[in-house]
Amino acid sequence: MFLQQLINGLTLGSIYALIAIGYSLVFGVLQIVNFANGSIYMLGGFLTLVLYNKFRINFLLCFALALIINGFVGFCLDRFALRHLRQKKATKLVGLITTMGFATVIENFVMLFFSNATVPYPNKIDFGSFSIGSAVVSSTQVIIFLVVLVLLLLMSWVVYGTKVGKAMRAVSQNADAAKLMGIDVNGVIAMTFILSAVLAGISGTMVGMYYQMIDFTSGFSIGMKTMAAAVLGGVGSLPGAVTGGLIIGVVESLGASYISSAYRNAFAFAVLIIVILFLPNGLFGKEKVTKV
Amino acid sequence: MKKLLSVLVALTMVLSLMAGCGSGGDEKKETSAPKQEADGSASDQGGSEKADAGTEAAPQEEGSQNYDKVKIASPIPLTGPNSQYGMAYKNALEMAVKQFNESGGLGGKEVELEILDDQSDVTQATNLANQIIDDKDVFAVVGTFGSSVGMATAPIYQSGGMPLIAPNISHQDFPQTGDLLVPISPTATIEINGVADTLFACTGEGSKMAILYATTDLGVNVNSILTEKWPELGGEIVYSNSFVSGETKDFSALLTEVIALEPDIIYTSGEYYDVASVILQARQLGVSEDVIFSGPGQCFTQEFLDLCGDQAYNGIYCGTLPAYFEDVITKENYSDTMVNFMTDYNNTYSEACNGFAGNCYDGIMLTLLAARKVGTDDPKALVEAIVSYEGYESVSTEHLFFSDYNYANKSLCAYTVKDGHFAKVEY
Amino acid sequence: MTLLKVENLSVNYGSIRAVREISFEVNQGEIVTLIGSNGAGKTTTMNTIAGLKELNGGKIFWNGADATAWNAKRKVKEGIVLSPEGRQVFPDFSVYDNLMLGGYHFSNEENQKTLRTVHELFPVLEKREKQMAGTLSGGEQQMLAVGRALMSQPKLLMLDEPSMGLAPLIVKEIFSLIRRIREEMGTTVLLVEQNARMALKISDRAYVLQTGKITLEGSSKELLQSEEVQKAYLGM
Repeated sequence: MFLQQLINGLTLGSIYALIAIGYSLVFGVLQIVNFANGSIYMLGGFLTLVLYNKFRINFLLCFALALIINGFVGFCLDRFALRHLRQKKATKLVGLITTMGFATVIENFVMLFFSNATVPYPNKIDFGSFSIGSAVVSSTQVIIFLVVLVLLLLMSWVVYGTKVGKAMRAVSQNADAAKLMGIDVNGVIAMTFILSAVLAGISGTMVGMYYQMIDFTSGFSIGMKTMAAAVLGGVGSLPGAVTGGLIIGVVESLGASYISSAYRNAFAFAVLIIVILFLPNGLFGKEKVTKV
Repeated sequence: MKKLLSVLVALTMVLSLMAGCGSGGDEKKETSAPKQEADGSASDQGGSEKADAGTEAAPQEEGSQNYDKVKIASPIPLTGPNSQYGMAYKNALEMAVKQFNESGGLGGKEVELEILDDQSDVTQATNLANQIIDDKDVFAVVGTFGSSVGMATAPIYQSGGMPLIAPNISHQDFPQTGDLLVPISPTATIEINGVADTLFACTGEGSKMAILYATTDLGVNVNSILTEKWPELGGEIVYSNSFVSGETKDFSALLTEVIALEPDIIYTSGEYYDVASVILQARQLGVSEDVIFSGPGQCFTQEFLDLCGDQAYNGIYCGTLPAYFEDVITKENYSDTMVNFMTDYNNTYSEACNGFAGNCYDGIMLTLLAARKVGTDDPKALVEAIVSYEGYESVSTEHLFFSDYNYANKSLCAYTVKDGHFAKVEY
Repeated sequence: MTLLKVENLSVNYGSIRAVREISFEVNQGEIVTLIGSNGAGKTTTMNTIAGLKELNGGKIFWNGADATAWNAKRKVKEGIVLSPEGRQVFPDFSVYDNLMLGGYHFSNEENQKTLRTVHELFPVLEKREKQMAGTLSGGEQQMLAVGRALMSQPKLLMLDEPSMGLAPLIVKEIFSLIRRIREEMGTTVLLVEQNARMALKISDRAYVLQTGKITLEGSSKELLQSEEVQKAYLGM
């Protein structure tokens, strides 16, 4: 039974990981927490569903389209809201609150279409299940693992192996110095938002398929937990975000079954607090070294 | 924006109702309906004819009842998270009032319906309650959705001398909060005892039950009642754990344990999407095909079938409200009154008829019929007339009556799911 | 030939007028310096020319063209490169990666060529190629900052207080390297410094900045002799 719990926890964890990466990326380049990430995750799931139900064409096509729209939404958040704040030299707090406002806008927009019902979601990656000992693993879970793995490798390649990725890392270390290199800092930031929105959208769709339903409140609670995962792993660190996500997922699952289900969220945050007490920068976070 | 719109709509409705009142109420009537005499005797004292609701006989002593007040106030959630239920109430209220007015109203006078938006918010509902009890034209309140709003405003109505008929408040303490309070839903205790009896009748001696319950007052209550009653009947509780309704999406942690214990029944107390999630995820985890899934009346909706209809087979879902589907509410299964109600509702409104509408219709119709009988000037007399009303044909149950003064009792409806449709279970 | 011309430049921080209608120019091949004490407006001027700060009045001309509205990226591409105050190296990148970032807009081939020149000028950068820039000493970081700026193949190399926080011996080394850069690479240099003596010694012309205004200008030799400058900035 422990194996089953572990598998469930890892599935949950890999979904968290994907969203946590988005938080980490944005925090890295902008030093703010993007509170809209949770609602963008939920939006992605809804967009895929709406497109699929409306147009009845190939699911994969609707999925791709939904991701494009999602990425665009992420882009808009930066381009039309946050960038202006940067130009006006507003404090980080103002940016933070703006992302919260953006989250509310997105949620209410979705509410217009679906009022408040929980809507069924077609599971397009259901190809049966198999057993490992006493544990049952569904194909959906396997596919989610693989997708997250592939995306992680892809993101790592982008961040550590491409010029754009180097620019992103430069901006996260010192935005002004990056400007002096001739790097288009605003462009890099926009790219980061698009990437994190696409990742969140993929997550939202996969979660919809996994649980075979979706509702518009799903953004909020997952937003908090994945933020915790990003902090746990060390904000700004890609492997940190993934590790953090997996840990939170597993702890939540095990805690829910072996201790108490009603307090499952508490366990996730308890782990976060414990880790931060001993490692203030998270598991993979680095101390900021500044020398005159 | 939506809130503003609904306030404007409500305001417009109220204004047009008041305007109608002043000019003799011509706009409201489509067919000028004189008082109709029911078939057979005009007397309805202890009457046992199964006449259709709304076309009941005119009161015995005409002219002796006081119908000075003709307004019913209905605070319901038109906006906010419970707006879908508010809509069901609104439809039922309007339909009942229209039918009642067409059958003669209150001594020829038309009943006015004032619908207000409480947004399912306690503060808003409290404000409305305080306004309503000061309104000299209101003789009863039919409304409030949900225990939190209902329990918060009940004392206000009680101390304000205003009868409150609450269609779906099943909170234990509601009836005893005052003698002007009338729930149409049975309390959880009454309901769950009935559910336990029904489930036991279907599964037999030694049957093992696993309970998953939401951390709401209702869920906690259901769990404690079942945990006590089930062994008393002769069954065994093998597992009991809670979840946070709406927030907990992943039940796999709990279900893994449940499945390992090999229960005969898995009972989920929560919203329809919680029950659906449990069913879907249990099947994914390879639960035995023999396991019976059970859940409350909140499941009797198309949304539930949409979510898990093809996986919900081998279940017994019990509630105090029927599943308003055309293939379920048939003349073979239920009374003509129920069938007609559902047909009228579905023909009039775009939203599908459901238990909330049914309960609400019963609530207001019973109130109006009782008012016709005893007048609208004495709140206590009105409530007494409601709870002792004989011969009321309910649209939401086979048998509705009150015990211990104002505790509602209804016959249970039990369904299974076959080929993605509900089917009545005979036991 | 005038490379950089600044006309009536004004820069504010909110209501504080940090730079007030200053005008100066830098010609091809020159080393020009702006000297002044803390808060005189030197860094503000540099940052504005480099495109990091918006100006509130005046114009900037580059090679005759109006460069006032150009952003930082455009300026770098045109050859206006700043090694900023406080070095501002990328602490979590290696020395090599820092240098390569300087060559962001050039091909790898070109960068490798420029790198060789940089290594020649600053052998320590080659020695510590793989070391994380945040762990270098102050002097090494300064060399890295200059080297990084050189990787951008500047036509005008702007240096903001390269001597700050460094030991006198290191400062001497840095300044002789600045001279070499002009001599061997033909790069024009605009230097901003608190250390007036060293700055005046290596530069051709100088301007004195005082609370946002240019109060003195002339050849560096002249200014070194001027009594005013000696009293105010040379501690005599």
